Amino acid sequence: MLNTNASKPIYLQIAEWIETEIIDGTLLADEKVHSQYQLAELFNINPATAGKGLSLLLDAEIIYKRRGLGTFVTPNARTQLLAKRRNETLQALISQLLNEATLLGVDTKQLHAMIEVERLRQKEDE
Amino acid sequence: MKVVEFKEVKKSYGSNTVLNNLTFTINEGALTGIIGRNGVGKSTIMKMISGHTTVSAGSVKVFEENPFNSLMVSANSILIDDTISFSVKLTLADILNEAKRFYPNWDAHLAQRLFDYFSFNLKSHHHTLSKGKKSTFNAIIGIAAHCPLTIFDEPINGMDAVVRKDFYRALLKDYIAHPRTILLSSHHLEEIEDLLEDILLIHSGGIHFHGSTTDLQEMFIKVKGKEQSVLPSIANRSVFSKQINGSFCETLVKNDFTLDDRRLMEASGIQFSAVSANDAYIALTANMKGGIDDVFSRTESE
Amino acid sequence: MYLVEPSLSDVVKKQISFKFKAYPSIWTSLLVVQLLALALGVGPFSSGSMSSDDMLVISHSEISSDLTSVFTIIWAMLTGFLLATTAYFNEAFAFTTNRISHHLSNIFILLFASTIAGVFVTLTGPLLKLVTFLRLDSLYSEPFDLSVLLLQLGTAVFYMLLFSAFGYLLGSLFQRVIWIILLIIMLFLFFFFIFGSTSGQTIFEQIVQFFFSEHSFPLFVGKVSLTALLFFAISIVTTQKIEVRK
Repeated sequence: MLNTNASKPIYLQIAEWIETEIIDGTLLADEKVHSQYQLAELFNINPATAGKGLSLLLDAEIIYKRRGLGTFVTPNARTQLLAKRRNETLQALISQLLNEATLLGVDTKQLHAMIEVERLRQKEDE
Repeated sequence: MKVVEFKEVKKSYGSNTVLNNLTFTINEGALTGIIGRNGVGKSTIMKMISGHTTVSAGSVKVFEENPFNSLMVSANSILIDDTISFSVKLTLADILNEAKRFYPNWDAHLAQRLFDYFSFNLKSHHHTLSKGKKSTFNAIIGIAAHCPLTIFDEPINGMDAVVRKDFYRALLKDYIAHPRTILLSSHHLEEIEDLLEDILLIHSGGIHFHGSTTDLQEMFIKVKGKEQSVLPSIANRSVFSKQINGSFCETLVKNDFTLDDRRLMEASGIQFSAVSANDAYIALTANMKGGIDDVFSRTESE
Repeated sequence: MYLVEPSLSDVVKKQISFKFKAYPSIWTSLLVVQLLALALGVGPFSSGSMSSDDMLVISHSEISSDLTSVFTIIWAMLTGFLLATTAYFNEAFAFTTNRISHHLSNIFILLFASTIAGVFVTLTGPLLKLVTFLRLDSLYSEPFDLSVLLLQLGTAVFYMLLFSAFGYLLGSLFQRVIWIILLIIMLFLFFFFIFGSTSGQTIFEQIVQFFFSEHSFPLFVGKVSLTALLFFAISIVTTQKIEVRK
């Protein structure tokens, strides 16, 4: 589950894993999030490192703490995350795509066509 | 609470000074790795903590007491290394029973289950065990004793890869279930960096780094991309490692780029990626004379 | 974090039972030494003599438990020496201990061993008499006197204690620096055989007289106790800074 050889620090990967769980609906609003100890056991890492990932999410207000009860998903976390993903992740993918296209000498029109083809293909697979 | 406190500790054997002016503190509950090259003094440090070895100068305090000849420190800590020896008359079963009598927090059920899991025979004797089996058995004692301060000195010595993984996993699970201060020394940081909360890096008789694993990792960063874009942008920096593959190169440098610098560089196709604690450790302790590759390139050109 | 605060007596007790379990050879070797001494004592090495004139032939054998005493004394010294060696030191540190508790537990074991050894040595006499009586049908012996037997027992025990303490001292010094023991051996030779001292007796003879010729049992006990205490004290003090498990 975790890529130890990845370009991202482990605690960041933990945070993103939880974010993905929120986005795909596994974790719903106000539902309890894994504790740092559960995450530690799950991913075979030190609890403090897992805790760092949770801290990131706390600071971004994706999750909130309730004294003695644990951490929970913020009500509008999903919306927030979708926006972030759109703005950051999708944006990054787009710039990567454009870079690659430029490298290969593919112009924007050809790119649009390729996107359309792929979209139709994926629709057929469903 | 400060579980371990070293103040200007010096250790010499005759005219050879192994450790010099060592000052650090280890707090309660931290799973700390004591990392360093072979022979750097990791075992010496651990033996000073457990009260088996004296200091030449400075002071060591464990649970706020001098550990040397302290019954309190001896009762609340355990050192697991390959110098543990038992009378040849004792069976493994005897040893486990004795451990139960000495350690008030001894978890007999856990010890038994680990014992069975690793396929030991109650009637075997400690001195006839193979190196790996001995390490495994010692590790079981270390884990099951549940001492407030548990010290492992190169515990995986001789263990095969499968047993190593199991040991780390068992240690983590038990640490989560029964939090305590654990010190773990190794010169295989790449295997244990995810397990460690803090790292104490010993090099050339002193401390090169003491902080969280993530802090160590974030001291450095990998910069990779086309050689002609990467090299100019890191022109005035110390490069700790450089790998060239055709026109692509990957370098390891200090992680002190501003956010704007990064955005600029990323826009021109340069990629940044995180550094493992092991790579950071290698960078920090790199031999100033150059790397192993230089040995070969130098002989080639001669 | 809850820290246990063990008392010295707690740890000493635990070390004692640990060592009893770990070193059964102390007792088996004692038994072997007794059997060996007995076998040799009633066998070819028992002394005897014959005297005769025209009318009468008298032969007699002397039975004594001297051989057993000597063997057991050597055993006591060796046991004391062994308990003080590095290997045993390191084994004690597998579990909770400090240097003092290690020594105190050893001293207790030596006290116990001396007592058992003393009992064995004392009983050898009566045993030999019994065996001889069964073999030869006649026996000249001192009448049985319990108080004498008890006195013999006490003396034997304290002799064992003295020699095991001495062995322990040697073993402890041997740990520190090997040449210290060489020095001691040299001193021994020097004093015992070469140095003719006051009142025409060598130091060796004086020391032997100091212990062996003491007629008062309480004084004897006092002398041995103080000497043994001194030996143990030196052992403890000289090993206080020893590094273990190296």
